[in-house]
Amino acid sequence: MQQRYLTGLALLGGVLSVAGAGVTRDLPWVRQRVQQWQPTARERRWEDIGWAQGLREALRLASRHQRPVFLFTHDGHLNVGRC
Amino acid sequence: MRAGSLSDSRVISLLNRYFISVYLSNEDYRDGGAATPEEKAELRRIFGEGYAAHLSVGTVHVYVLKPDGRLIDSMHVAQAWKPETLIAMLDRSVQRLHTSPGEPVVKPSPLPAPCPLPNTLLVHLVARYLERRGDDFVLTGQTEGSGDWNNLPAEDWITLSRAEWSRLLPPPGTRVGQSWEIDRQLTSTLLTHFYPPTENWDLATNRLDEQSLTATVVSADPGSVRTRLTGHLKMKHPFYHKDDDRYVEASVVGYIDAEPARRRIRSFTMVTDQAEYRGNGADLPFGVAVRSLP
Repeated sequence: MQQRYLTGLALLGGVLSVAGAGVTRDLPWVRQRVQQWQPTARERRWEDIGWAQGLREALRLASRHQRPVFLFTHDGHLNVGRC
Repeated sequence: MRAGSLSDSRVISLLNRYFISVYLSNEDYRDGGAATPEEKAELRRIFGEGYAAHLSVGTVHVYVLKPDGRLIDSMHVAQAWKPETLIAMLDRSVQRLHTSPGEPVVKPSPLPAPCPLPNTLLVHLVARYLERRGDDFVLTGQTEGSGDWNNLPAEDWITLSRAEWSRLLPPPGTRVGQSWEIDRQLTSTLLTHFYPPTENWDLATNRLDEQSLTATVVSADPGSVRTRLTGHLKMKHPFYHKDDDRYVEASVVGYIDAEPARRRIRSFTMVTDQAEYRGNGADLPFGVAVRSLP
């Protein structure tokens, strides 16, 4: 799946060298780019989940509120997308 | 998971109404990791219960624990990233445990930015793949539940010490139109983060083969100076945690508004002008945006 996605992006990128030709890279342009490339609300949807601060804290809250624990273990840094 | 099931409205609702949710990074739970011995022991205990019950056990998994902490279900993320599959698992657990719905026990909140230390400059970086559209590039995958992790941006927080950010200030006496090369060590500190989302986040595997960052004063008044930055990099960056021939090639442009007399940087912004992640027969456009905070 990853490879198919990457291949598709590669085709899109074939004309990178002409993109934005003639546009002045002034401060407003840079600021606009910075703004446009920030994480979107859709990309931050997972932050709409209430996450406990650590496994033992989750277990403590589960016992207190009689709720099951949903535990997700992963490699890398989920909070910044480097994973 | 972030791009798939954890961004699905139904999954979010189920987790908030019925569960205590928690995520952890395996690096923290290995020998020498940041987790406490008690936290590590709990994770080992959960794994042990999984093995004993012949459940799926692994490092990239989701687990459901009863309110008393005992493991009752598990699933590899290869399945759990799909919303329908995870929803079925969560529903099954709720029915089995007769859990009543309620308000979220832990209130959802945006992840806070790190607190800058005194005399430091906190810099936020976003890196993401882009798609060409017309004469411009646009964000990829802006549809709910696309599931492609590649569509998500990666972020880094970079803290520059006073000694580091001071090197972004123009040398005394610099006039409008004059240029200088930014300190190579500082340039390396910044540009080594200029890579797109991959499955490798170990900066030690990045190798800057080419780097430059030139500053030019473009305007000045008695209190402030505006500097324009231009540069480029060519950096080896393996996609996975194993060596390959992939590399980043990018040009960058940015601006610094500073008050040299007060030794203060008002704002620092920088973006890639053109950037590609190359190798393995693919040239992938991506973008990096940097801004200082606050």
